[in-house]
Amino acid sequence: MIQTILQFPVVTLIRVMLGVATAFVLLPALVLPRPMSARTTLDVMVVRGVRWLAIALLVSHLLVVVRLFHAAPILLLCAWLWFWTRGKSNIRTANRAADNNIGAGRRIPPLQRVWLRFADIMHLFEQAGRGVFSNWWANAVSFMQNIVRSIFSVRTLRIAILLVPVIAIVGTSLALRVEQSFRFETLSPPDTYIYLAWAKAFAANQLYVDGLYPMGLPAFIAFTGKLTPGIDLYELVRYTGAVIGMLTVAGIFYAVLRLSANVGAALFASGVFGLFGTISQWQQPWIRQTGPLPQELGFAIALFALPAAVLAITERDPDHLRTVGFAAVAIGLIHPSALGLYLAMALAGAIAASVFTANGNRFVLAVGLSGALGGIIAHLYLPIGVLAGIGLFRGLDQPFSRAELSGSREEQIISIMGTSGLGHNLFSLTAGGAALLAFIAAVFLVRSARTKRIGAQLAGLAAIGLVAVALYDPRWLQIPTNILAPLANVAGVGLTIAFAAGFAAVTAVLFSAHRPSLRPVVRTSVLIVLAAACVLSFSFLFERGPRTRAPSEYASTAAATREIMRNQDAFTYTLVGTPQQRQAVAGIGTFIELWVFARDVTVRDAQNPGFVIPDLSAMLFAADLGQSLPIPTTDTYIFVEKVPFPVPERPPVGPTEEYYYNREKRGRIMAAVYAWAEFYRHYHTNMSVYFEDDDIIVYQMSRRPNPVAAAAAPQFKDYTWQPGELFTGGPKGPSEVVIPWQD
Amino acid sequence: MAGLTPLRMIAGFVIAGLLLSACAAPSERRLVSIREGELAAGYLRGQLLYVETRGVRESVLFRHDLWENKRERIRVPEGFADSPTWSPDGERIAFSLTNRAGQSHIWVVNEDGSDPQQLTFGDVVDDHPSWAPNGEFLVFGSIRDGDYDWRLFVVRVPTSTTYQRPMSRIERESDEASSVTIDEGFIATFRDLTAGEVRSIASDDGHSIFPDWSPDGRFIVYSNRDGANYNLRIHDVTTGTDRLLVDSGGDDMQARFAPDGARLLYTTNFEDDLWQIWSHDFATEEQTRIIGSDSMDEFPAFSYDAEFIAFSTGHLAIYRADAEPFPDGQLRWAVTINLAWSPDWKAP
Repeated sequence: MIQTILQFPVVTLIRVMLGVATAFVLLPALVLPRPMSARTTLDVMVVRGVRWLAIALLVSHLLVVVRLFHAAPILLLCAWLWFWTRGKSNIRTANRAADNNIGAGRRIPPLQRVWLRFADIMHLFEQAGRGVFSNWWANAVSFMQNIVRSIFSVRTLRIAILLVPVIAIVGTSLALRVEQSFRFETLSPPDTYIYLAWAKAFAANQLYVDGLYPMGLPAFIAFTGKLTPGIDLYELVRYTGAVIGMLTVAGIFYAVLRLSANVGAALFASGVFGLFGTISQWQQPWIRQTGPLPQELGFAIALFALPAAVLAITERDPDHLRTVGFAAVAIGLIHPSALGLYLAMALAGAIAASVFTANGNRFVLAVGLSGALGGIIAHLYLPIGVLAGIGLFRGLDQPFSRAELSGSREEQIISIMGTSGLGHNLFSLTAGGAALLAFIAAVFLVRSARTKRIGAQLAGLAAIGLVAVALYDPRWLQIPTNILAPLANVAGVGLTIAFAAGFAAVTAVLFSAHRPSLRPVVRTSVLIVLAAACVLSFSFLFERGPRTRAPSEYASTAAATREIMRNQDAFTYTLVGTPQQRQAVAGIGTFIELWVFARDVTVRDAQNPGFVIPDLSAMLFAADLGQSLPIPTTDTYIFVEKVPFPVPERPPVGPTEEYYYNREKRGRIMAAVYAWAEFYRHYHTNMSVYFEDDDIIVYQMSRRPNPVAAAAAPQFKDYTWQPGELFTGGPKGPSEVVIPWQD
Repeated sequence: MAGLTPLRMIAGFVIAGLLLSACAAPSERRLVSIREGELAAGYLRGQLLYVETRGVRESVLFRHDLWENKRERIRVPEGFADSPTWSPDGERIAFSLTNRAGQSHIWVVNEDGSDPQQLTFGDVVDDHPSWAPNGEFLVFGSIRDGDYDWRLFVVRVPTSTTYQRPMSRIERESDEASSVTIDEGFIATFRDLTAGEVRSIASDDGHSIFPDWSPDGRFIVYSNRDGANYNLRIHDVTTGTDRLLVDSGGDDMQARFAPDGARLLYTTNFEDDLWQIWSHDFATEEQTRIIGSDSMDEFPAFSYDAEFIAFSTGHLAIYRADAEPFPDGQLRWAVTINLAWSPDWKAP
């Protein structure tokens, strides 16, 4: 019963969100000191979170290098114990009070401090007995009563009502982002499967298994996985996308609120992106907000850290520089294009603030150096990895083959983007206008000593927005096209900041001109209502596009895969399927590519009742393996798409593209395996249909292999790619296969 | 206690529990080696035919002289050669050959691979030939005539010489008459078959495959599936009658008569889905497990004197008939399927 409830999508989502909150909000609160630059509780939480993320990612990488990532919880526990026992002078027990050698200004060794802390707890019980619990209970009840009282008091009721639009926007934004995860067990977009596999490898102390590539996102997932017990990495990845999408929304809110001190502007910016991220003008494909992708995670972190770059100038507090540096480390470990965007925006914001305050040149340099230093630290893995003989990931050393990128540079970019073409439009130009408006308002604001700081911050915000406008069409940047496209994707999100700056400028001028002495609560109310109205009106101003999905397999395929993984013990089964299933079962079950299976089986074998797919014992004795087909597990599940999945066509730059992203060849592979399986089922007694619907059919084949040999070698197939040689003929899909004994 | 508020303490313990519960080391898989054994010369007599696979569309037939411990490739026409079997006089080898189009036919060659003769033709799938003891006929399984079930057929083998069964080593040494006499009745049954003509026998429902002709020629044992599993049935050639021989509850296949015809070996998976080699004794009608390793044990074959059993367990293995590995465990040969031990007279 409890297990069933825990598997509910909503419960899983809540567990994932709690895991992320534990990993990046609660843990840093327990371990990291309060940042000196933080002004509010929200500041404390955000700054700690950003710094902790950098530390967690760095330490996770180091732990993987020394193959101790699985011990991360122990280290976290030690870190927490260290924090917990820092109050070393707090002598409580009778023994400690009587012993002059403990405490009294002497530094107590860490381990001893832990025991003393536990002794303190025992002392509490010695003194109060069960009263300890009643005291705690009384405190908890009092705490809850205070909350309830504050909510329902007449004074805060108005604020509570005003929170309705905020809750509506946040709730709707989350619902939009998590909808796909609720409805489908497939992961979307296709890249997500790669990060799933890397996260699994990371959790198993394997780094850069496919070459050098930023491992920040897999580390983020694996680290969160350590704090979400009972949820496997597949489920975690499935729901983390929505969480990261909401981090973007929250990041927009925080950045605008911290720099403009205008809750309306913050609500407008985050709300408009939260609700209308589907419109084509954002250049941020909707699917990128629903799956865990590194650029989005990196930019979300950037949004939280950007205010520090501007505040370092306006508040002249060096502690902000630490935040800038830590953020650069975290973002750099996650994705270089997000780092580049972050550094550009941070510098632009700092320079603008410096110009408007006219006294922050030294801090601008410091902001630049902090960011650069963080970026360098984050990218140390590149020279170290190259020296260690690890090659670059295919996407880095040879981003796209020439076969794939034909046509002009502009055509290539549009091809990569997969959405609307680049170039400015009414949307980005309006954002640019809003940013310029903010600059004008800032000029007026800085003339008054009372509003000088907020004016400079508004200028910083506008500058950040202008960078987003400039990179909305990044063709002027002479950088590789494969970096250009994601840069433009993510930069589109930043337009919200320009809009927000404009909103803040208008309202600031309005309030200053007409209602300078407006009470804060009224002012807040007006701003929130205005923001809500703007968010709603926004939907009428711009064209909305359909919300897109980019699954790479049928939902039933993912569901069947998950069910097999749930029902079978690890490594007792082999999946024969597509690359998506390979990532899903990586580290849990064995896998054979469908194209390899289709290459290596013959209907003639299937017709022979004496034919049994061999186990690995044959491999250990064979001089020439050829293309024999051993399978090391008792159960084998063969996935066939009765109707080949309508994949987007891709140029044949590798076996995955040639065999799975070519509809004709995918169909031929499915036809070959379907024919084989149906013939096998007719002449053998050990195959049954495990699952079937209109789209797919899953065959289950059982036999008992040698258990010793089965454990011998995980990599047992010949995956050599033979470009253009395989699957050039035959039926183009299972529907064309004639099974004589079937109607 | 400053710094140790109840809320923080509870949170701390929750975190501690959470962290400890998550601190599980990932399982690691170990590489396990398997003991290998090499066959030394001078231990075993006779010759083994076996198939070594070269991918899924090509195989190689080998003839291995066990006494010399040397193997020789038998060159046959291109395709996937399978199910080799010695003729009773040890001069010829019958096998199936699958071409690129997926058609399988029965072929016969001399023991050195010369004079290949294709016995069956057409868009058919023929496999698992077994010689009649007089060397004039072959029984085999076939999918043909628009029927997608396996059926048993007999074909006459063209021969220019009059067959005479040779004397076995045991017979030579003991000067005793053979305990096996050829039943003339079966010859009469197929006397009117012309060379290349095929005739259906044992027309049970379902699949009928893996025939093996008894040493006296009267019976053909085969696997039949008319329900969930393959069972062993035995067909009396002279009377045309047919009866169930073994129904273990699993799949019973690949039956091979002992040289004296008193028992047979077969493969079954009724125990835990694991393929094992069992024996059926005709006198007692009892089944006994002979070999049950952890691997998939298939294609058993008696040696000429029934003292040894060769079988495929991914690779080729030879055990004493009392199930003791000989001489040193397994022979280090490649992926083998479908093997056959030579007739006794080939022993030195």
